[in-house]
Amino acid sequence: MTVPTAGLGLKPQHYAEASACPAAGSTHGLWFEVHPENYMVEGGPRLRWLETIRATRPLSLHGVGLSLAGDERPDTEHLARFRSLIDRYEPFVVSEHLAWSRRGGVYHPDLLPIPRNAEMLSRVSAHIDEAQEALGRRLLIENPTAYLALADHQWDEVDFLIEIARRTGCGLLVDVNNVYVSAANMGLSAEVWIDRVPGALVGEIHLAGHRSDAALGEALLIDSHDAPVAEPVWALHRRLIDRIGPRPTLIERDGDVPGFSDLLAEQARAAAVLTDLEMAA
Amino acid sequence: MSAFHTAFEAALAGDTEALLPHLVVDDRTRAAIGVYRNTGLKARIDALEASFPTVVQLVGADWFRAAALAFAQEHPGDDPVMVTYGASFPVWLATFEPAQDLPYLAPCARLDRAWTEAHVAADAAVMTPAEAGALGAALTGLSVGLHPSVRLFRFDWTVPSLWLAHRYPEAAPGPLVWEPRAEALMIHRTAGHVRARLINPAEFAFLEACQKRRPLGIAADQAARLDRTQSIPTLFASLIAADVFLTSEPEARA
Repeated sequence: MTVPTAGLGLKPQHYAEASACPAAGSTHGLWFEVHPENYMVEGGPRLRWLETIRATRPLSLHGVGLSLAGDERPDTEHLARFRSLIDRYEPFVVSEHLAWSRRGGVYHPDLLPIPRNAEMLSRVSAHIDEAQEALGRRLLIENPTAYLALADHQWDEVDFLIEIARRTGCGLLVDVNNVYVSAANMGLSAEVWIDRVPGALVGEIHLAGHRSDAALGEALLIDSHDAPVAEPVWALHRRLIDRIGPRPTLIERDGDVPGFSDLLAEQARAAAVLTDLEMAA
Repeated sequence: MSAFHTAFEAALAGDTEALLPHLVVDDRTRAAIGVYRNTGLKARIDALEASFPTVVQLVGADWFRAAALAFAQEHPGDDPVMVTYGASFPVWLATFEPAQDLPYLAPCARLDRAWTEAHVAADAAVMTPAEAGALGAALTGLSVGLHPSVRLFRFDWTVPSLWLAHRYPEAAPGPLVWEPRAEALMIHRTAGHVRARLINPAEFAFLEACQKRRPLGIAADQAARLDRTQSIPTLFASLIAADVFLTSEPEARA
């Protein structure tokens, strides 16, 4: 199987083009990522398409529903259906978020934040342990987007992620757009974050577009995934890769989704960053 | 239970004040809480808009999104598998005050929902014409189930024609007439595609009997009683061609 370089979030409207895309040049290492929640169905064409695409391309499963930072244990039924997708599609990487979304029988379709304190650290670590055990895989945990200044942060974000990884053995998925948006919203340095994250823990990178808040403008950036990757985010990606070496890098696009060829152009740009470095090495 | 999570949920539900003790408040705080509130609602509304395209066409996107917002505020949902979200939307729509003058709206929502259910229903091996031919006369004593995607509907008004004209305009049965005339519809999946078509009373009776696991002979009798002119072999052959019957071969079912 191909070594994954730059990948794309797979959208249903692109199934046919994705399965027909030849493996040559910048698409040589093309891979795809999906939210397993969109494939937790009994049957039908979605599962068939994923099978077809998986037959020729590496696949990553990126969960949004485990609610690992929740104050309830991960849902065992959800873990079981996640596990069955892992067994069926054999993804090269499985990831989730440092966020919560489920509580008291209600699912919030969002990635909600937590204060980085001792109580949350032990809770999140226990949930990741439980999830890794049930899924039979090491998870990569994605850094969140921050919009609110929480009062009870006792840890720096990078240190918090390192400590979670130390306790659970999980790796990190570095969402560079989240780093950029959070740093802008919190008045912190994205460069410092990128320079401090330990390369040994980073298993995957996400790139996506953002926009500014309709009312507040640049004072509040939104992780909207509805635009091309912004130049400062490309610069941070290059900075990270220059330091830690190439990592599978995903272009995420969830709103105003353009044609497949437009997404491939961004994928090619990410692939160039990864392979330039390989050639230089 | 964590006090932070409790306060955050209260803020999502509208009680901003509950979360303020957990925040370093500045002039962007309220807008930032609004980002979280809107993200969840938008995800739910988008899911409904994707699941009920006929309803969107009938009332327009603005009307639909306003209705979806009202539904989403009352029904937060309990499952990260968003394709399941909105299962109760058709029933709710029937009680939604602004929809009271649109009696076809909730029934069309039911059919949109059935389309989604057919799209994600389990796969199953179906009876082929060759298998039916080999069984011959033994067919009459056999109870064959229907493919898990099959959904049958009967209405006193022309809901099926109205829905088909919007969802499958290329196969529209004719000029659109909204009138009190009984119609039946079958929605099912074949070769990876969801199909829908009007079915006559004999077909409906035949399929309904199969769905209840009656032997094919009984299903044929019930269909024939409704329409003496209907050729049962023709009816059966056309339904086999549509891949709606499960195979009777146990090894193929496994």
